[in-house]
Amino acid sequence: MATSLLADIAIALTAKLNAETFTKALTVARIYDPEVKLEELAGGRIVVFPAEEESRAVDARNIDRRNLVLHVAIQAKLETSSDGDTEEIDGWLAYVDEVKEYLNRLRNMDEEPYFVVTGIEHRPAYSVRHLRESRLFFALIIVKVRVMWNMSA
Amino acid sequence: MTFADEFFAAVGLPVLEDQHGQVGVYATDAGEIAVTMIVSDPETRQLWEAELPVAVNRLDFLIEASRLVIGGQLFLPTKGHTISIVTEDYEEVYEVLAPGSDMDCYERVNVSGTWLRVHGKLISRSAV
Repeated sequence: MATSLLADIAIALTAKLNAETFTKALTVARIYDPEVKLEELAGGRIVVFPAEEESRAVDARNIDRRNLVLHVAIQAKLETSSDGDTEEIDGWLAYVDEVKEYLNRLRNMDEEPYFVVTGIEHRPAYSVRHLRESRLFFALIIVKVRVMWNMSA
Repeated sequence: MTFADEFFAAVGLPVLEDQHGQVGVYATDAGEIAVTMIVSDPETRQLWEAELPVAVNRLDFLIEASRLVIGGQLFLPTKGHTISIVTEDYEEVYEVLAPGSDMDCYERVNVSGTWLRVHGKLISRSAV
């Protein structure tokens, strides 16, 4: 079945993240519906899902420049009591840093789909609302990807 | 709070507890204790941030305050405590958490505080 470029990049990004070793051994999942139950977040989860796309024709070379945005969400129910939240959140933020550092230098030029990560944002760094209401760590990494697409290929 | 609240706490809640109460395990950092409590019906609400919803199952526990004793010390509900109950099919663990960011994790049912309404959110469910 044909897949969209957004799906192709999400699949590739998920595979790249799963092939990398981080300090927390979480399996990255590709999803479309990001809703999750609080009770499913013990131990944490990291998910990739597409957010938006912008295409632009580049001159007359029959090439499209496609800018995609994908979201990488990290969510984890904090385990320790409220006294120990700070240390636990430090650990999750350090994990987010690892993922960001990896994504920020990611170039996929060896196999299709060819893409380059052109920038990332980390927003929110963590959700105060989720923390206060559910003792839940939530961080979102916004990944900006550029794909050069030859329309004559 | 009104006289009706006091009357309800003094007369109504003990009857309700007698007829519909169930035993749950209340756990703190200091230990755990089996407590008889009245468990409300659960409800689900969504907590949103950056277009990502988290479905939160929450309910309330009505507990006589004098029963919250561990190691001879009375204590009040605090964020991070847990309450475990067994339903027909599941063992469920609720964390004591405020329903919203501008609320406390428990309320006094009556002015004298003999009964407490403790708010909980489901953090674990396993089949029994």
